[in-house]
Amino acid sequence: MGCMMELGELEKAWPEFDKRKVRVIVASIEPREEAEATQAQFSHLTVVSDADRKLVEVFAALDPGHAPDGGDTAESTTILVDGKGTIRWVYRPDRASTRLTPSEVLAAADRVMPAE
Amino acid sequence: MTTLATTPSVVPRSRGRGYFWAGLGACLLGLAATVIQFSLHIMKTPWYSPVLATVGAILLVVAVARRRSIPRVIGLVLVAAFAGLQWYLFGVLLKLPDYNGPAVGQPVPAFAATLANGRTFRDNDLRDGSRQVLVLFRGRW
Repeated sequence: MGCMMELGELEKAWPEFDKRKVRVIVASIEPREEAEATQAQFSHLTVVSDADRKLVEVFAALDPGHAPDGGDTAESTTILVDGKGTIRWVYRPDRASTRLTPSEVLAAADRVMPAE
Repeated sequence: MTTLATTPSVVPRSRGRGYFWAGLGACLLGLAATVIQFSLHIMKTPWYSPVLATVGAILLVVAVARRRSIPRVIGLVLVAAFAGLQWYLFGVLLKLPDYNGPAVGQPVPAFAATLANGRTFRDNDLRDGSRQVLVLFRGRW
């Protein structure tokens, strides 16, 4: 529930991201069919299926056995990447019940990678 | 004929009752505030809820100490169990390990994943000149 709520808040805040020319990419280790359903629900976000876990592995974000069905999942992590592909900011909450608000993400983006 | 004039010892029914209701109220307040918080889409760990449940359990201990009754003992057990469950949930189960991936200032390492439309999504796609927010999320639940 928390994740879909987080994506919903990001979708709602999309005009603010768009105004800053910041793209919002959201990724989980779910298969592509799930990513398609997520994309249909949140049309302004770029939804990625990381079923092979390459992306979560490079960010050390695999959370084994903690999905509701006992399977693996990804640890909630927010990463800001500049136009050259350099990591500018990383946030991982200390609890799975905590997420950043879009305002917090936007404030971090404005701070660490201001528009040129 | 003698008549024994005995005065029955009367225990006031209200003895400690305020603590009982305050204890239940504190616990329910935390629960209600958590529901309201998440219904407002404020996604922060509601630490106040286990704190209030613990305060509620302490108040119920006082209520039971003042006058022991089955409802008070049941209330104490339930509220204490609820507080303990929440401390375990927030303190242990939901705790995430610290981030130990690539550091700030480093390039995004090589990876390949799939966009929802089936196209391949690689680290090079994060070098297209636009600023990006990459959110790793747990899943569709």
